[in-house]
Amino acid sequence: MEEGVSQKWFEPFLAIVGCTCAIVFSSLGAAYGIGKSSGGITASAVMRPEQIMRSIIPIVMAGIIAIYGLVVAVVIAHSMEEDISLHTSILQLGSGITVGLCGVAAGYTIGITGDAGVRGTAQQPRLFAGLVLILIFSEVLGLYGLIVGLILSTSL
Amino acid sequence: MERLEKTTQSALQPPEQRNEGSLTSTLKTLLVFTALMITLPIGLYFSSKSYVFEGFLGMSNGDSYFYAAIVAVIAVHVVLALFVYVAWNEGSRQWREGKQD
Repeated sequence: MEEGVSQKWFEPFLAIVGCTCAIVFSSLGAAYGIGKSSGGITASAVMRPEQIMRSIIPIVMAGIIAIYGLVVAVVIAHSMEEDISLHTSILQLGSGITVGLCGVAAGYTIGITGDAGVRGTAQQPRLFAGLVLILIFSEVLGLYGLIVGLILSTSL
Repeated sequence: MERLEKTTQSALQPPEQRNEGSLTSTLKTLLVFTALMITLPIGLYFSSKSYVFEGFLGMSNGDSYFYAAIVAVIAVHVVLALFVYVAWNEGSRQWREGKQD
């Protein structure tokens, strides 16, 4: 082993990869959610500009997915130590991947649902309540990932 | 007959003049909620971690991360519920005004 490389580089590597995965993947999910639903918003706002405030709801919910990833990444980054154990670092890796990929799932669903929903709400305003309900169910996919991620990250 | 003339007059106005007031109010609402969403969860996470959980309740480092994260997530959902409520009322108010025009 070279002199410059410390003996215990593997454990911090795993924990930091977990922190990276948490924020990167949840941002990817939020990006897809925002981008896909903004297509529907801009298309429906041409004919119904007064619905714009209601149509921003999928955007806000996709942004919340990124906040889930941010919270877990901050929790993992705060628990980084110089001599982190292998067990703890694998827990952080699992926690980060969990919240990240669940965020991708939730963001994907929010994107497709938001796009179709705001286009339909522009033509039929009574669809709005159903759209919010479907978006809530899409959002809790990311929330389950956050819960499992937090339980993993803070278990000893 | 006068109501019909007033309706056609307001319909013939350019849309920018009619919606100018509602556009600025919409933008102001969106800016307020953006600022709330950016500052409230993370601010509450750090402040509750240092002041409430470790200062007032005296928990250890590992436990206070967990509960402070829960506080941040609840704050996020409160902001979301407030936004849905505001958007719902604004939408239904404008729909009712549209029917009376």
